[in-house]
Amino acid sequence: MLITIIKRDLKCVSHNLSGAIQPIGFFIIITSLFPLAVTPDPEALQSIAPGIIWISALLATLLALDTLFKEDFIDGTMDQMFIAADSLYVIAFARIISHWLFSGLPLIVMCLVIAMMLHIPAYTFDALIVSLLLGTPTLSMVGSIGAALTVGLRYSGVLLTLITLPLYIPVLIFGASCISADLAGFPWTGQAYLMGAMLVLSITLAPFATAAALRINMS
Amino acid sequence: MTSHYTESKNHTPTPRQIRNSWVWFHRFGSSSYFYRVASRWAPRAGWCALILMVAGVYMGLFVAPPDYQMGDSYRIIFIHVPSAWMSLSVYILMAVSATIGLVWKMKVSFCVSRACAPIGAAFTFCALVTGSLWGKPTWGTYWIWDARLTSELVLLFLYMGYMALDKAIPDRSTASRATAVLSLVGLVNIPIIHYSVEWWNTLHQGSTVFRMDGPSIDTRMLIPLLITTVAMNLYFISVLFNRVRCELLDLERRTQWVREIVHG
Amino acid sequence: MSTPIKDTHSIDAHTSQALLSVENLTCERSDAPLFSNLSFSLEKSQSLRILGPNGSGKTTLIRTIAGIHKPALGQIRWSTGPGNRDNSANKPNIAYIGHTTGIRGELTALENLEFYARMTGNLSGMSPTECLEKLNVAHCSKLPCMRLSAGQRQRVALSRLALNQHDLWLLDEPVTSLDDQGIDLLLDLARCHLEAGGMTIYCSHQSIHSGFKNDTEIDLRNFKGDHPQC
Repeated sequence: MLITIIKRDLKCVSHNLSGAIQPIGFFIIITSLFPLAVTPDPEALQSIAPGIIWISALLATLLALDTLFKEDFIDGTMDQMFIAADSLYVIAFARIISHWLFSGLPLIVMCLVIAMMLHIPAYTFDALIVSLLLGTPTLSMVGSIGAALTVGLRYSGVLLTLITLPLYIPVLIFGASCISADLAGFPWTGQAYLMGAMLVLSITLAPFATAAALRINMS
Repeated sequence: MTSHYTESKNHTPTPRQIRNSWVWFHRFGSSSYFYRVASRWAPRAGWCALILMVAGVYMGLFVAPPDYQMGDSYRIIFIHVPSAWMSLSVYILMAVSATIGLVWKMKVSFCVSRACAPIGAAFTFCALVTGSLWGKPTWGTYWIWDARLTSELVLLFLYMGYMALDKAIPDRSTASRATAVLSLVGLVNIPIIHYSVEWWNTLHQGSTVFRMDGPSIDTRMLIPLLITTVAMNLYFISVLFNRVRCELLDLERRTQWVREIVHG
Repeated sequence: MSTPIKDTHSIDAHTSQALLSVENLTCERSDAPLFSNLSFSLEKSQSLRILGPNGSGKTTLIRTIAGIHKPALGQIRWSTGPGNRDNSANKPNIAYIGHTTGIRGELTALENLEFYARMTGNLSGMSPTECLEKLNVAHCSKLPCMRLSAGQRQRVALSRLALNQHDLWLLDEPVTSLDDQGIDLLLDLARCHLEAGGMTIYCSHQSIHSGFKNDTEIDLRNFKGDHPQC
């Protein structure tokens, strides 16, 4: 069931590639705005780069969240899947995985390019990638709750942002500090462990909350 | 319970529930009962809050000695600290009553949760404003990214998200249940946010920021603080009860007991 | 069913053989009751038409039976035979056609149907393509569904009905935007379904009941709640 839904999402994306790469385009644009707005000075950029990358990743994830359940909800696929699967948990979990595959994963690949543009030295790439690998699934998990809560609303973008961003703060703090610590030559494993803990916690709890929220909006 | 009150079916205790001696719980779940209790206690709590507040503020301003470090400017804590405490405990109450509503399908407890949100947000706002006013003489700036102020700010965002979601969903019962889930998620997140912000703060600033907590506080300062805290709690109860009354009247507008109240 | 059903509205007397029995169902929308104390039961090969004006709760009733909407009160019981009260072991195989098609625009008709075949199983022995042929939309099976007309999309949605031998069809205005040929094809399919022992609950403002072996009707106006909507 899980695999079936993910496979379907893969097919949807392959038919609609331009829609799928929008979050990545968004990520690149946002990150390139910072040097324009703040300073192109390599040293200054380097010091704020972890924040830039993480805030952009946050917003790019958020952008893709709006349609996480809404399309299925509006065209009635959610009803059909619910009748077939009898469990919204599975549906929610599958959709979260798809969301991460199409927004989080490409972001991690893309961030290496962005990191070079922001003059992040190559020796911090491991911290960068580990923090994003642990952080972006957490963002997908936590964000899915907000997406499920607002699934019945036509214009929910701003509301979704308002609900979700405060919940993202811990990930933002530890994610950015992971990279900053490595930049400064400090060990960053502590932050990585904490992010791992948050990931485990969110995998354990978030799909239940998401499923409950979907159920509420369906009946 | 008198016979002319037609109750919503969810709230009438069944024999099994009575045997479990949860009667009080289900009685509070009954809208009309809660309405009557709230009507009786809201004004009393309100008057007590007013008296205690006047007494507490008087003691705080005139009886308590000035602080050796900050002089008189510290006196804002008699408002600031209770509001900060209230802001958090109101959120907890909001989430707990929402959970009760989800589990036992009690409309009253959804109403309590819903009524908590704006009051809690007001307390949070009050704590933020007094905090930044206090910051000016203490730190020389209105805003400093202190861990507590930042946590308080995030709490305000959480309240705002709750209220925005509540307003956005047109269907009443869907809105109550959706916001209940959100408040629960927020409740799980509050400690995580709090500790991550605290950790972030020590990383960036060191913990040199002046702290008012700890047992070293003078008794003459402690007593007015406690009095204003009690006053704020009573004020909260009073406002909460009044808000819940309005909520209940609106929610149960089709039932007999509301019609009797409205039409005399 | 071994439990006796006590109600006054029961349409069918042979409740002992009922596969589906709805007991004292009350449904609410926005805290206002739509209908209350609705009871009926359905046997093999029976169909039930739900009547009622707009806003009387037809869709809500159908979605409640589908398990999507939660009733405020009452029960929906399933039994696979006399004496079998264990509903959880034998999950009824329900097909639901609602106002929304459940068809993804990005995917082709065939991909949509293949997805459902994998989700719900494909036990009728008909391949997804054959199911599309049943509704005469096989020629556009390779097109993305967003390029199909509303009627064609509805046909794709209806071809889901042929994927399985369903216990129950729940059809909510199934012929909206269908042409005469489409309606005939649906009715053919429905006839086979009823002959194979399936049940159907449907509502429709067009008169298609001539095609169903129209056993029973319920009018939701007779079950209106005590409190008016406004």
